[in-house]
Amino acid sequence: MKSTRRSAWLDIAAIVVVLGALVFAMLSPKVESQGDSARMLFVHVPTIWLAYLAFAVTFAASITYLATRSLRWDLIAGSSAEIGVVFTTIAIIGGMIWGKATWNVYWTWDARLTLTAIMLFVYIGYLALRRSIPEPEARARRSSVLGILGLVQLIPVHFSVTWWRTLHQTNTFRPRDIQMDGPILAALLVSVAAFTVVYARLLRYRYELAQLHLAQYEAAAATEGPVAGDAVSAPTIGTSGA
Amino acid sequence: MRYVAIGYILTYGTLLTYVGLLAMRLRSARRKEQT
Repeated sequence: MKSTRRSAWLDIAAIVVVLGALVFAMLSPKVESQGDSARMLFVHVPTIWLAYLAFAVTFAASITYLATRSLRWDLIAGSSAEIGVVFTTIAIIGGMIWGKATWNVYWTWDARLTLTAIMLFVYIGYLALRRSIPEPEARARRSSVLGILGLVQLIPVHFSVTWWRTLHQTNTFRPRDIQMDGPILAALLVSVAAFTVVYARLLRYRYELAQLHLAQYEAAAATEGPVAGDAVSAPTIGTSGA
Repeated sequence: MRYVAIGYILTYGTLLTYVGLLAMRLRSARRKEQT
Protein backbone atom coordinates (compact mmCIF):
# COMPACT_ATOMS: atom_id res chain seq x y z
CA MET A 1 0.00 0.00 0.00
CA LYS A 2 2.81 2.35 0.96
CA SER A 3 4.73 1.59 -2.23
CA THR A 4 1.56 2.14 -4.33
CA ARG A 5 1.11 5.58 -2.77
CA ARG A 6 4.78 6.39 -3.31
CA SER A 7 4.49 5.27 -6.91
CA ALA A 8 1.43 7.48 -7.44
CA TRP A 9 3.30 10.49 -6.03
CA LEU A 10 6.24 9.80 -8.36
CA ASP A 11 3.82 9.65 -11.31
CA ILE A 12 2.31 12.97 -10.32
CA ALA A 13 5.82 14.42 -9.96
CA ALA A 14 6.70 13.20 -13.47
CA ILE A 15 3.57 14.86 -14.92
CA VAL A 16 4.34 18.13 -13.09
CA VAL A 17 7.96 18.09 -14.33
CA VAL A 18 6.85 17.51 -17.93
CA LEU A 19 4.29 20.33 -17.74
CA GLY A 20 6.97 22.57 -16.23
CA ALA A 21 9.33 21.73 -19.09
CA LEU A 22 6.55 22.54 -21.57
CA VAL A 23 6.05 25.98 -19.96
CA PHE A 24 9.83 26.60 -19.99
CA ALA A 25 9.97 25.66 -23.69
CA MET A 26 7.13 28.01 -24.60
CA LEU A 27 8.54 30.92 -22.59
CA SER A 28 12.12 30.59 -23.84
CA PRO A 29 13.31 33.40 -26.15
CA LYS A 30 13.30 32.98 -29.93
CA VAL A 31 16.43 31.74 -31.68
CA GLU A 32 17.31 34.46 -34.20
CA SER A 33 18.54 32.13 -36.95
CA GLN A 34 15.53 29.75 -36.89
CA GLY A 35 12.65 31.67 -35.33
CA ASP A 36 9.91 29.69 -33.60
CA SER A 37 10.81 26.39 -35.27
CA ALA A 38 13.84 26.17 -32.94
CA ARG A 39 11.38 25.39 -30.13
CA MET A 40 11.35 21.86 -31.53
CA LEU A 41 14.80 21.64 -29.94
CA PHE A 42 13.14 21.19 -26.53
CA VAL A 43 11.42 17.96 -27.55
CA HIS A 44 13.68 16.65 -30.31
CA VAL A 45 16.97 16.69 -28.37
CA PRO A 46 15.54 15.13 -25.14
CA THR A 47 13.79 12.34 -27.06
CA ILE A 48 16.92 11.27 -28.95
CA TRP A 49 18.93 11.54 -25.70
CA LEU A 50 16.39 9.24 -24.07
CA ALA A 51 16.68 6.80 -26.97
CA TYR A 52 20.46 6.70 -26.44
CA LEU A 53 19.98 6.22 -22.69
CA ALA A 54 17.38 3.47 -23.17
CA PHE A 55 19.61 1.52 -25.59
CA ALA A 56 22.62 2.00 -23.28
CA VAL A 57 20.55 0.49 -20.44
CA THR A 58 19.64 -2.43 -22.75
CA PHE A 59 23.35 -2.91 -23.46
CA ALA A 60 24.37 -2.80 -19.78
CA ALA A 61 21.49 -5.06 -18.70
CA SER A 62 22.32 -7.57 -21.47
CA ILE A 63 25.95 -7.78 -20.33
CA THR A 64 24.82 -8.15 -16.71
CA TYR A 65 22.43 -10.93 -17.73
CA LEU A 66 25.21 -12.87 -19.47
CA ALA A 67 27.43 -12.42 -16.42
CA THR A 68 24.83 -13.31 -13.76
CA ARG A 69 22.21 -15.36 -15.72
CA SER A 70 19.55 -13.60 -13.66
CA LEU A 71 16.39 -13.16 -15.75
CA ARG A 72 15.52 -9.84 -14.13
CA TRP A 73 18.35 -8.19 -16.14
CA ASP A 74 16.94 -9.59 -19.35
CA LEU A 75 13.53 -8.17 -18.46
CA ILE A 76 15.12 -4.76 -17.85
CA ALA A 77 16.97 -5.00 -21.20
CA GLY A 78 13.77 -5.83 -23.11
CA SER A 79 11.72 -3.19 -21.29
CA SER A 80 14.28 -0.46 -21.93
CA ALA A 81 14.59 -1.39 -25.62
CA GLU A 82 10.84 -1.02 -26.12
CA ILE A 83 10.88 2.45 -24.56
CA GLY A 84 13.95 3.30 -26.67
CA VAL A 85 12.06 2.35 -29.83
CA VAL A 86 9.17 4.62 -28.80
CA PHE A 87 11.52 7.55 -28.13
CA THR A 88 13.47 7.00 -31.38
CA THR A 89 10.17 7.03 -33.29
CA ILE A 90 9.17 10.27 -31.55
CA ALA A 91 12.62 11.78 -32.28
CA ILE A 92 12.32 10.90 -35.98
CA ILE A 93 8.76 12.27 -36.24
CA GLY A 94 9.76 15.49 -34.41
CA GLY A 95 12.90 15.78 -36.54
CA MET A 96 10.85 15.45 -39.72
CA ILE A 97 8.55 18.27 -38.64
CA TRP A 98 11.56 20.44 -37.73
CA GLY A 99 13.16 19.50 -41.08
CA LYS A 100 10.07 20.63 -42.97
CA ALA A 101 10.11 23.96 -41.12
CA THR A 102 13.82 24.66 -41.68
CA TRP A 103 14.91 22.65 -44.76
CA ASN A 104 11.49 22.53 -46.44
CA VAL A 105 11.66 18.71 -46.67
CA TYR A 106 10.34 16.09 -44.26
CA TRP A 107 13.01 13.57 -45.12
CA THR A 108 16.38 13.50 -46.84
CA TRP A 109 18.95 10.69 -47.00
CA ASP A 110 21.29 12.60 -44.72
CA ALA A 111 23.81 10.52 -42.73
CA ARG A 112 22.23 11.26 -39.31
CA LEU A 113 18.67 10.63 -40.47
CA THR A 114 19.53 7.44 -42.32
CA LEU A 115 21.61 5.97 -39.48
CA THR A 116 18.91 6.84 -36.92
CA ALA A 117 16.32 5.07 -39.08
CA ILE A 118 18.62 2.01 -39.33
CA MET A 119 19.05 2.07 -35.53
CA LEU A 120 15.26 2.11 -35.13
CA PHE A 121 14.85 -0.91 -37.41
CA VAL A 122 17.63 -2.84 -35.62
CA TYR A 123 15.86 -2.39 -32.28
CA ILE A 124 12.46 -3.24 -33.81
CA GLY A 125 14.23 -6.43 -34.93
CA TYR A 126 15.45 -6.93 -31.36
CA LEU A 127 11.86 -6.70 -30.07
CA ALA A 128 10.68 -9.07 -32.83
CA LEU A 129 13.40 -11.56 -31.84
CA ARG A 130 12.20 -11.44 -28.22
CA ARG A 131 8.61 -12.08 -29.29
CA SER A 132 9.60 -15.03 -31.44
CA ILE A 133 11.15 -17.01 -28.54
CA PRO A 134 8.65 -17.94 -25.79
CA GLU A 135 11.10 -19.81 -23.54
CA PRO A 136 12.58 -17.17 -21.14
CA GLU A 137 16.13 -18.55 -20.82
CA ALA A 138 16.62 -19.04 -24.57
CA ARG A 139 15.08 -15.62 -25.28
CA ALA A 140 17.36 -13.95 -22.76
CA ARG A 141 20.48 -15.64 -24.10
CA ARG A 142 19.85 -14.84 -27.77
CA SER A 143 18.46 -11.33 -27.38
CA SER A 144 21.29 -10.27 -25.04
CA VAL A 145 23.74 -10.82 -27.91
CA LEU A 146 21.76 -8.44 -30.12
CA GLY A 147 21.30 -6.06 -27.17
CA ILE A 148 25.07 -5.79 -26.86
CA LEU A 149 25.83 -5.56 -30.60
CA GLY A 150 23.03 -3.02 -31.09
CA LEU A 151 24.81 -0.36 -29.08
CA VAL A 152 27.75 -0.31 -31.49
CA GLN A 153 25.65 1.69 -33.96
CA LEU A 154 25.15 4.49 -31.45
CA ILE A 155 28.71 5.67 -32.15
CA PRO A 156 28.20 6.34 -35.90
CA VAL A 157 24.70 7.72 -35.20
CA HIS A 158 26.03 10.26 -32.69
CA PHE A 159 29.18 11.24 -34.59
CA SER A 160 27.63 11.14 -38.09
CA VAL A 161 27.16 14.94 -38.02
CA THR A 162 30.89 15.38 -37.35
CA TRP A 163 32.23 12.67 -39.67
CA TRP A 164 30.06 13.58 -42.67
CA ARG A 165 29.02 17.21 -43.06
CA THR A 166 25.59 16.84 -44.63
CA LEU A 167 22.32 18.67 -44.02
CA HIS A 168 21.76 17.91 -40.33
CA GLN A 169 23.27 20.47 -37.98
CA THR A 170 26.14 19.45 -35.70
CA ASN A 171 25.39 18.18 -32.19
CA THR A 172 23.28 20.74 -30.33
CA PHE A 173 24.76 20.15 -26.91
CA ARG A 174 28.54 20.13 -26.66
CA PRO A 175 29.60 20.39 -23.00
CA ARG A 176 33.02 21.88 -23.87
CA ASP A 177 31.69 24.38 -26.39
CA ILE A 178 28.30 25.69 -25.30
CA GLN A 179 27.05 28.29 -27.75
CA MET A 180 23.53 28.69 -26.40
CA ASP A 181 22.03 31.60 -24.50
CA GLY A 182 21.39 30.95 -20.81
CA PRO A 183 17.55 30.83 -20.96
CA ILE A 184 17.56 28.50 -23.99
CA LEU A 185 20.13 26.21 -22.37
CA ALA A 186 18.11 26.20 -19.11
CA ALA A 187 14.90 25.28 -20.97
CA LEU A 188 16.75 22.51 -22.81
CA LEU A 189 18.24 21.06 -19.61
CA VAL A 190 14.86 21.19 -17.83
CA SER A 191 13.32 19.39 -20.78
CA VAL A 192 16.05 16.72 -20.79
CA ALA A 193 15.56 16.20 -17.02
CA ALA A 194 11.77 15.98 -17.44
CA PHE A 195 11.99 13.37 -20.19
CA THR A 196 14.53 11.39 -18.13
CA VAL A 197 12.04 11.26 -15.25
CA VAL A 198 9.36 10.06 -17.69
CA TYR A 199 11.75 7.34 -18.93
CA ALA A 200 12.40 6.18 -15.36
CA ARG A 201 8.65 5.90 -14.65
CA LEU A 202 7.97 4.11 -17.97
CA LEU A 203 10.80 1.65 -17.31
CA ARG A 204 9.42 0.89 -13.86
CA TYR A 205 5.96 0.04 -15.28
CA ARG A 206 7.26 -1.79 -18.37
CA TYR A 207 9.49 -3.90 -16.11
CA GLU A 208 6.52 -4.75 -13.88
CA LEU A 209 4.61 -5.86 -16.99
CA ALA A 210 7.54 -8.05 -18.07
CA GLN A 211 7.69 -9.61 -14.58
CA LEU A 212 3.95 -10.39 -14.69
CA HIS A 213 4.30 -11.99 -18.13
CA LEU A 214 7.21 -14.11 -16.88
CA ALA A 215 5.27 -15.20 -13.78
CA GLN A 216 2.27 -16.13 -15.93
CA TYR A 217 4.47 -18.10 -18.33
CA GLU A 218 6.08 -20.00 -15.45
CA ALA A 219 2.71 -20.71 -13.81
CA ALA A 220 1.32 -22.06 -17.09
CA ALA A 221 4.43 -24.20 -17.63
CA ALA A 222 4.18 -25.61 -14.08
CA THR A 223 0.50 -26.58 -14.37
CA GLU A 224 0.88 -28.08 -17.82
CA GLY A 225 0.64 -31.87 -17.51
CA PRO A 226 1.96 -34.34 -20.03
CA VAL A 227 0.20 -34.17 -23.37
CA ALA A 228 -2.30 -37.00 -23.93
CA GLY A 229 -0.67 -39.84 -25.85
CA ASP A 230 2.88 -38.84 -24.85
CA ALA A 231 3.38 -42.15 -22.99
CA VAL A 232 2.21 -44.26 -25.92
CA SER A 233 5.00 -45.31 -28.20
CA ALA A 234 4.38 -45.90 -31.89
CA PRO A 235 4.02 -49.55 -32.89
CA THR A 236 6.92 -51.01 -34.83
CA ILE A 237 5.89 -52.63 -38.05
CA GLY A 238 7.14 -55.94 -39.26
CA THR A 239 8.94 -57.19 -36.11
CA SER A 240 6.07 -58.94 -34.28
CA GLY A 241 4.79 -62.53 -34.72
CA ALA A 242 8.10 -64.32 -35.04
CA MET B 1 4.68 28.32 -35.34
CA ARG B 2 2.31 25.94 -37.17
CA TYR B 3 5.05 23.30 -37.51
CA VAL B 4 6.04 23.71 -33.86
CA ALA B 5 2.43 23.10 -32.80
CA ILE B 6 2.21 20.02 -35.05
CA GLY B 7 5.57 18.77 -33.74
CA TYR B 8 4.56 19.16 -30.09
CA ILE B 9 1.16 17.54 -30.66
CA LEU B 10 2.75 14.55 -32.44
CA THR B 11 5.51 14.20 -29.82
CA TYR B 12 3.28 14.36 -26.76
CA GLY B 13 0.49 12.52 -28.60
CA THR B 14 2.75 9.56 -29.41
CA LEU B 15 4.09 9.53 -25.85
CA LEU B 16 0.58 9.65 -24.35
CA THR B 17 -0.58 6.88 -26.72
CA TYR B 18 2.29 4.67 -25.53
CA VAL B 19 1.54 5.49 -21.88
CA GLY B 20 -2.13 4.60 -22.47
CA LEU B 21 -1.29 1.31 -24.20
CA LEU B 22 1.20 0.39 -21.47
CA ALA B 23 -1.40 1.14 -18.78
CA MET B 24 -3.94 -1.08 -20.55
CA ARG B 25 -1.46 -3.95 -20.93
CA LEU B 26 -0.41 -3.64 -17.30
CA ARG B 27 -4.00 -3.56 -16.03
CA SER B 28 -4.84 -6.63 -18.10
CA ALA B 29 -1.75 -8.52 -16.81
CA ARG B 30 -2.51 -7.57 -13.18
CA ARG B 31 -6.12 -8.75 -13.56
CA LYS B 32 -4.93 -12.03 -15.09
CA GLU B 33 -2.50 -12.48 -12.19
CA GLN B 34 -5.31 -12.09 -9.62
CA THR B 35 -7.59 -14.68 -11.23
